[in-house]
Amino acid sequence: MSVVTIERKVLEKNDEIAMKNRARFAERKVFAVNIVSSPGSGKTSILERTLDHFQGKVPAAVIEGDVQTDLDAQRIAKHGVPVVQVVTNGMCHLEAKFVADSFDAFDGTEVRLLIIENVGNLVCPSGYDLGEAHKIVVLSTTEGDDKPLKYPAMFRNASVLLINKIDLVPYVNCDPDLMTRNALTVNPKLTVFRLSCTTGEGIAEWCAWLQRHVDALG
Amino acid sequence: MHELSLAQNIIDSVREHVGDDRLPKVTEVVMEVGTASGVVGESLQFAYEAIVQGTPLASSVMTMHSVPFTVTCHACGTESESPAGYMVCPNCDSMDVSVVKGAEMILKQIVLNDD
Repeated sequence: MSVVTIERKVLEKNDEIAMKNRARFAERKVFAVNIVSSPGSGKTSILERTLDHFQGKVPAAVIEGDVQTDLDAQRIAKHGVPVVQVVTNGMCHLEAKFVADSFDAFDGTEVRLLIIENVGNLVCPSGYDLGEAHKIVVLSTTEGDDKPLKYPAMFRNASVLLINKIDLVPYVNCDPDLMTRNALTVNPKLTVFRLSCTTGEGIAEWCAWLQRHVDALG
Repeated sequence: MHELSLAQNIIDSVREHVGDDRLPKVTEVVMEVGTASGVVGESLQFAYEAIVQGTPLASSVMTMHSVPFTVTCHACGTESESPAGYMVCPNCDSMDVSVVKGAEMILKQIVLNDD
């Protein structure tokens, strides 16, 4: 009998590609964020609000991940922003290779802000580095204030929490203060913004955070 | 989660390390699975068994060692298990911590019967 010792991370190949993506983004001064959440939290609506805010100010591009359809890419294209739709055909998350291939489509296009919208899933995308500067987790008030404690990995790996649908608080059983406390219990370094894509509340503050990071790349 | 594609990744690594001709001699694939890796050990084993059927790895099994999620604290200097996967020092409540282990999944060893 013989034993071969490997000590290799199962996701090592993904991590290697992610590091190459990161180097590519740095070289082109692209600030890349990876937006993660469960389905229906409002990722695409936030994206639309964000793109409208940066229209004519910061050249942005979008990579859309979905299990099926290009419905989201159609929505984004209406905002006049270059977009690539990745259809995963059942896969529950985006991998770094998808992002590497998709980013090729933006060769020759000026991009300072790259927004990657991951597949709606509060578990799987947390394990996959795409080469982004920050993971942004979206949680809506309709999902309940206990979710950060139930799905800690997503909140542990994120830098920013966007509490969306804040305008619905009077109608749902959700305490945004408790939601924030729960999220900070998992990851005290999270920056938290409260948003409503219906009223526009908080969009300016969230976009100011993005702008600061884009500007910091020079 | 996505245990089926992870199992396929693992099988690709095993092939890479032992070579196609020695695959039938593999008896055991030893994994370390962090408690905060998001991977369910039983599901990964189930996926592995399903994929290797009818292949040269059919007689091999996957075994698991669970690795508790552990953080090191830069404030009090201790290393502690954080069972719920929180980024807070269980000893002094400081948030100035880094992950030591338990957030990953590692292909640890491959055992071959090559007597």
